[in-house]
Amino acid sequence: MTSYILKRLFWIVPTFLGITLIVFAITRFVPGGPLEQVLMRGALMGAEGGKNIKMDASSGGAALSNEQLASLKAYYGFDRPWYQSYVLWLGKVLTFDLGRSTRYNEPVGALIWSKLPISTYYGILTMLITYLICIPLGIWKAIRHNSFFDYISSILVFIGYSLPAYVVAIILLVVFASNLEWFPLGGFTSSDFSEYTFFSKIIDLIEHSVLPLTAYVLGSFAMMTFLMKNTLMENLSADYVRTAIAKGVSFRKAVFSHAVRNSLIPMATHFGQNISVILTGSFLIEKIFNIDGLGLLGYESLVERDYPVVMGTLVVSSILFLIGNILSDFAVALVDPRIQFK
Amino acid sequence: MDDQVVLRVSNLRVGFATEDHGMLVAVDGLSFDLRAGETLGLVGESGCGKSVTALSLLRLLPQPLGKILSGEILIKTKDGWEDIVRLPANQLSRIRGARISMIFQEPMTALNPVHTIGRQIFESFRLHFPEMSDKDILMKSLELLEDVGIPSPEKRIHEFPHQLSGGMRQRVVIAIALSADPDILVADEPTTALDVTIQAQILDLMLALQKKRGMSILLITHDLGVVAQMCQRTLVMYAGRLAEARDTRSLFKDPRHPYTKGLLHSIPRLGSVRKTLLPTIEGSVPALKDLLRGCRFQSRCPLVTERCREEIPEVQIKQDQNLACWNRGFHD
Repeated sequence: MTSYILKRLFWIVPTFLGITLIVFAITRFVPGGPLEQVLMRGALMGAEGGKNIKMDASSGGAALSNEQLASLKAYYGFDRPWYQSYVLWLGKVLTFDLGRSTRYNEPVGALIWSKLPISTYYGILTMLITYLICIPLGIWKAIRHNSFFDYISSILVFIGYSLPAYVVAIILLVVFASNLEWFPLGGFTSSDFSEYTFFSKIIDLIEHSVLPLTAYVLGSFAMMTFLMKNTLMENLSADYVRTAIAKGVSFRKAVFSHAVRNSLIPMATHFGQNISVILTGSFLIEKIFNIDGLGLLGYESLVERDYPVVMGTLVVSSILFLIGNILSDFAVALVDPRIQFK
Repeated sequence: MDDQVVLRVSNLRVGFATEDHGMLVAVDGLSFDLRAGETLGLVGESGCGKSVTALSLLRLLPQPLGKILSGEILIKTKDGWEDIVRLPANQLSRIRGARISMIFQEPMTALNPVHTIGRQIFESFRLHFPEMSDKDILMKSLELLEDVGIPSPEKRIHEFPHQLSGGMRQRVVIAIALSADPDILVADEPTTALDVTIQAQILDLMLALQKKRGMSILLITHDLGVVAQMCQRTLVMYAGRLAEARDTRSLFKDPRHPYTKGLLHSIPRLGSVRKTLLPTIEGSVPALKDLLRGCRFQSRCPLVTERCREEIPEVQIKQDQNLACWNRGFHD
């Protein structure tokens, strides 16, 4: 068992190196990087108010002097070959220093840390609600296979599944926040949140959470429900359920004490993937509901070429993903005694 | 009714609803008695309805497709006779396991893979003897495992099915089936999936347990060797109907029904000439969807007459022997 965990933890290292190395290299070769953006801005300013800036022949017509360019390169870390920079960056990551955001000039670690509670809040709630709805719904649908309820719920689930989460988010926002005004338009909490009493804080939080959570849950809903339904139906026709009924167990008890546990095995394998996907959030949903979470941070940093933040969010999400996979293994082993760690 | 009878099946008709061919009748008008302490063999080839008959006895037909269309399955209980066919679903658990138990063909899948052996045996005790203490249940379970020949049961009881061999698993399945001390054990090809040495052990075990507990066994098999070894009486089925039901000795010595005759002829014998073709029954079993009028064996029968093509053979009864053939009687 211990050796298995150690082995799995060890394998995190090369996977992590692979992921970060590729993304790091991409940030270096993709055009439109931070340096070019500064140069472009400089060129624009030069074109507009040009008189104050003296053109320097040696800089090849650019708005900046060589010294300025060099110091900019140094600021963005582009003054060395990419592999050297990568090693430097990695060295810093090992000391938990993710660098500074080029956009906010704040430490990346602190930036991510400040967004993490929001994403974790939504992530954990989404996962809980998804499992709490999908498992019972899947069981119910399996037992009542081909009934009216089964058909109706399938139609609803498939409609939810075929709509992308951001479309659902926009519809929810328009209908329930804008037209009906049942829920606030967005944000994690109200702006005067800190002045509220404890209970009104909770109510405020819930009010703000309902629509985004609905959008989140609808996305992962269909797959989990049908996974549960189909595996349970398969298990219900298994021989061991017949054995149980033959010894006098009622159908209801055969379902719950025999078939359901076996059906949780495939659900457990999805557990780890869900953790990482959900915790790092969906930037579209965060954007639509104006939630200041990790997904939005990662997306905006990518658009703005804020590479230290891009790499920082990548570090967090890839580590979550890798640990999630190990957690998945444990979840599977928890429900299936045939799995042993060797 | 005969004092000795513990289970009486009369005119059982079992059908399966299909999309393309409507209701297909898999068992048609089957009747037989099972007596206390005897082993009755139910033989026939694949698809003749023997497993469907077995499942019907415990109302375990695959739902919602399988259905008992008519007939009675009477079982003797303390309070007299009860008809399993008409028992409401919530009453069935009183009969299943307690009065009539079943063991299955496939020991590899018959046990729940995520529960320990112990838990699966305890479950049965808890169901049928709710007043029993946990300590007693554990003791009884260990005793039972010992009875079915599981070595070091106190260790095995904590293990999961995948840690046991096929033969051991079948022993556990038998232990579970016997936990509530049923009067009748239905064994649906219990040794088919096991290798030959284990087969012999399991059959011996069943005989020993039968002797000890005095239960009746309905043994479903297609292996005539097993029948000869185990059963006092044998019922031969063909395409859902009874062909011949006799005491095993006279059935083997003097088969009356042409189908039984064909079956017995197709067994290789040590004394027969080597490297000659084994006699077989020409043709194959008709599919349920294109059964003809009259006798179902007509297409393969060497004695077939016009009457066989028109009318279903009447069942001739002589004491406890049954024969369904227009052309053969008990004495010709």
